Amino acid sequence: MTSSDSPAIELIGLTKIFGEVKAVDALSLVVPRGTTLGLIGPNGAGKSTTIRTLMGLSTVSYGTVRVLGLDPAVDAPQIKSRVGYVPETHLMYRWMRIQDVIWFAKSFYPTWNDKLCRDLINLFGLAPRQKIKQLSKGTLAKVSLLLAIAHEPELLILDEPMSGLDPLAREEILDGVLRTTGERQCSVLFSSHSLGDVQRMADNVAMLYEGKLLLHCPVDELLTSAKRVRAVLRDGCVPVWRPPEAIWQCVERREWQLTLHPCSEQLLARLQTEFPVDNVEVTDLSLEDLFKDYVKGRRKLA
Amino acid sequence: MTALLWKDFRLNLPIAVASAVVWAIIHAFLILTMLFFREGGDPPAYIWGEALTTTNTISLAFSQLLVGALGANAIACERADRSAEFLFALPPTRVWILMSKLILALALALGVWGAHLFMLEVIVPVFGILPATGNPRLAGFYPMMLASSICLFGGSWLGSSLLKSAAYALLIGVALTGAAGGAISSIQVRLKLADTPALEHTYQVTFLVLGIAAFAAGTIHFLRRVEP
Repeated sequence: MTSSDSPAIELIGLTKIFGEVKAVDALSLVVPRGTTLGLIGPNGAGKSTTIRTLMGLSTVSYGTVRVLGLDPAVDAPQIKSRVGYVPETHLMYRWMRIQDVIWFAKSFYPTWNDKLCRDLINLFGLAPRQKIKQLSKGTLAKVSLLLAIAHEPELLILDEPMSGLDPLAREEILDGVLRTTGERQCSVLFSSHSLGDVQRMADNVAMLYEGKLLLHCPVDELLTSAKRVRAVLRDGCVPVWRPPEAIWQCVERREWQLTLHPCSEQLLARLQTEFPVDNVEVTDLSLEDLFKDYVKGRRKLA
Repeated sequence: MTALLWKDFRLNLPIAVASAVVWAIIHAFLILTMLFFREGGDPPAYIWGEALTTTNTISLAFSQLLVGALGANAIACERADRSAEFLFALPPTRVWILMSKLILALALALGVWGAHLFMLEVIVPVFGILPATGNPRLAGFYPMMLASSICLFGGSWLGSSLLKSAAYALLIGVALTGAAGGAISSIQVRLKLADTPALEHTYQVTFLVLGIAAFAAGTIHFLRRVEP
């Protein structure tokens, strides 16, 4: 497979061990070209570790990693020249001005687009003569995104780019990303705790929990197929078994709540015939609700 | 490469400025002292020459610390403020990053040596004094200074590659040079050896070998390390 027809990202059994802790555990994932993947998971799920291995900033304990068909352990400079990366913390040289950091980064990218850079400076309202050490977290994130986008990358990797930003700055950053990915065939992988943003931006979502992949599917399909079910149990009855599709359940007095994925008409019919329930009510879930239920369900199982 | 060199120049600028200021202050102090203590007219030219020789040999000996500081600052300073994480997310290879650091450190070290050599070999002879290379008292001075500078630089470079703190990295360089010199001195005292050119040569070779080995170890560690 050549690097031009290979997936944007391909992970096969990626495992990263720190001491005795498995930060990422046999993670297999493919991000096709031109798609956007939202990587979600609670703190410590292994999102940032995965991203750092993609950028060649962390070693791989086991497994295979391919970014644009290249191995980060061998071809990190080529990958970095074709990938835009926004880290979780923006650690540019504090003594540089914005114009300096742009000139510095520009010198390493043959594909740097000056017009796009100027457009982004205007879009983000940046003052090129301002020093990095004087910038707020939001402005730093914008500079970081500008550096990641202005060389027209084939793949954009964003590690919680909106963390700690006010809603206005988040909106501006989101606009910048959407504009870039909309105008170009750019693949995107971004991790975020802001699940509303993931729902808005991502084609596919991958959920990590304790280093393991819990879920990887298209966002629309997930939101259509997963449902919250509220059933009223008959007096004195309890659910005797848990449907395998239930990712989370809770019984409070006579109310039995379940989150089912996938939820089908047949499953609902089975619930009503096999369980002592009177009334079944089905509601849609947001990505945030689903995420919480997945994590709570896992914690209960643990 | 230009951008990397510019960045490394800016990172080392405080050390370069500090050393230039110290060098200028030492010379200003010398001139003021000579002028203040003149008795019955201006001191003769050879006194100026002697004073300049003494000042610059002492200054060159102390400037080894500056050479060590350049080695110590090379890698550790970017790790200390985590700007290395920004740099390592950019496309340049580790070899280019390291080359830029080395070129800058060597250029500044050469600048320091150049300033001292200019004073000792060009200015001092103007006052009718032998240049340092022709001065029997200083015959072995340059090779010894150069060898110990290389040891200090190599040790500090290794420390810089291993640690986050430039100060601790410099300590490693000082400790390595001090330990090597101290070990040979102890052997000399114990065996009651006289100060011969052969012994001087032993010092120089030891410093050189240790310095080059430490530099190579620091370089290999930096190039093999994946994390910034």
